[in-house]
Amino acid sequence: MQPAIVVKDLYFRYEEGDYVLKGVNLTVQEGEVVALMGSNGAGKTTLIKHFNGLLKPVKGSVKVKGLDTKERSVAELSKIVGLVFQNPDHQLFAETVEEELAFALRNFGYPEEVVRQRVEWALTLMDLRKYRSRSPLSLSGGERKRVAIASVLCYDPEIIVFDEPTIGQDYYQKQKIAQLLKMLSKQGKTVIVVTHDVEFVAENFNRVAVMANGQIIADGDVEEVLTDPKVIKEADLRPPQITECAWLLGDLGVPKRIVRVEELVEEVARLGGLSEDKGF
Amino acid sequence: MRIRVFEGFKFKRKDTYFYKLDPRVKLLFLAYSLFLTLYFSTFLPLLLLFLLSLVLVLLNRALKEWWGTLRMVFVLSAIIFLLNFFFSERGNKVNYASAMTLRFLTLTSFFSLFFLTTPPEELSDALVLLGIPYEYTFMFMMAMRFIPTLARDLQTIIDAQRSRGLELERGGIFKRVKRLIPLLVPLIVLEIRRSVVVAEALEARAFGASKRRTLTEEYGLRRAEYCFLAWTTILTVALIVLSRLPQTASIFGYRLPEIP
Repeated sequence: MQPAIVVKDLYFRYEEGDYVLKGVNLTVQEGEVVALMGSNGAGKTTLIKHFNGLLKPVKGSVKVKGLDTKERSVAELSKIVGLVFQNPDHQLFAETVEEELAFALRNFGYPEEVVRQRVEWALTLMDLRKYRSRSPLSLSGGERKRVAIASVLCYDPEIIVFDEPTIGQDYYQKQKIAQLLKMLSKQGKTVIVVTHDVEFVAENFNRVAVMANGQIIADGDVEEVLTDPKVIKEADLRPPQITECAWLLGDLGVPKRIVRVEELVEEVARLGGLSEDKGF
Repeated sequence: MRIRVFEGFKFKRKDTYFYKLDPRVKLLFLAYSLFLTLYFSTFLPLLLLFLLSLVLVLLNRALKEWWGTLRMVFVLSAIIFLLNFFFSERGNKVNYASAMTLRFLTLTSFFSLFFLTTPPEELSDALVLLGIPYEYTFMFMMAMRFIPTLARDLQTIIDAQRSRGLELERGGIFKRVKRLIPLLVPLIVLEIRRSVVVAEALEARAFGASKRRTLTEEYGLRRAEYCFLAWTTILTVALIVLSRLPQTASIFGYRLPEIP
């Protein structure tokens, strides 16, 4: 099967200045859900802007479903790769939420009939039906974020890239976003999520790639990457709290590779000789 | 699509002569040079002024940034040239049009030199020292301060809308203008939101609580500044007086050879 995204030895720099990306290699298979982490300035946003051709490689190549991004226009690639930007205020402009969602669909030249159906679908999906005729600019921060997400999901791209979807979202909305990711994954979409939220990654992802200084320094299972002290240090991350607990309990014999609450509970229960039949 | 127009107006500190001058002195120099540029309307003196600005830029090692600004106004210069060439009523059209274009470039060059070597805070301080109420200088400083922020926002907006299939390069002029709406609406809304936040933050820090403000930086004129003032003043006066003297009038009235 053809991979969704293949980044090969990618170097990039803005007009003047040093390289921001220095030899990035990344392959994302179709249907995979990947978290992309790293401290500010590590090059995450620069990397995802290559996925729909907003930025073109200076050296190396980026292939999206076999298409070289150097040879395709942003409009062409955006049909395949939906990019949800961090700040919804950078894109909301229409008079109503409905119009906002229809914008991309009309740009891609879908017939009005399809536009209406897709908008309806996306409104329902993101729980926005009651705001359909409101101005997106009059909505609250969290709602605007949902409109921004819906405005990309509505044209049903095969690959969806989120830049910091959980920023400024309360616990409930974060759970909703986690659910959305699961749903997209079930539909067979390829999903890439840029985030700083290490707990969010630990709870909702299997694969994580970590960037530092314009390179991918680790890529693999969440259990492995987020519990590797070397990676944590190099990327200036903080391990998930559960992992930190596990490390502190290391002397008691708790293994170090733990990222989820249930796993730690199980281990602690095992240590204490507790099991379910003892009411644990 | 990258935006670079404002690069030339961004401040970067360097350790050269102009950067260390008192901002008031630099402001006066800017006034002198603008006056001279607008006073002369023939090619030769404007060329001299342009070269003077270029020499100063070179001495202050700001050539790269300066070139960035100048490069951006070339299209505008070409338009100025063509408009003057086709619509001016004066005698030698090439002569007049090139002088006007050079005047525009010289103005840009002096402005660029000033903004490249003066941080916005110092400019605002200079205006306060010259007696302009703080509220106004502050407003001006904020406006300057937000130019790069605005450019960055616009870039992100362009990226976001292109990601939603907006094609900026295609179509006729009306379609292009219509496509500006998805760019301008978010930009305006974003900046209004930002300004409200900034205003609140300012009031939270007691902006305007006292009528008289003191400056954190102390400004005093050193010998180097008096020297600078002296030579720029002498130069300005000399150039004007020279241009008024009948015997040199032919030099300063220099014109490009007429096209038959």
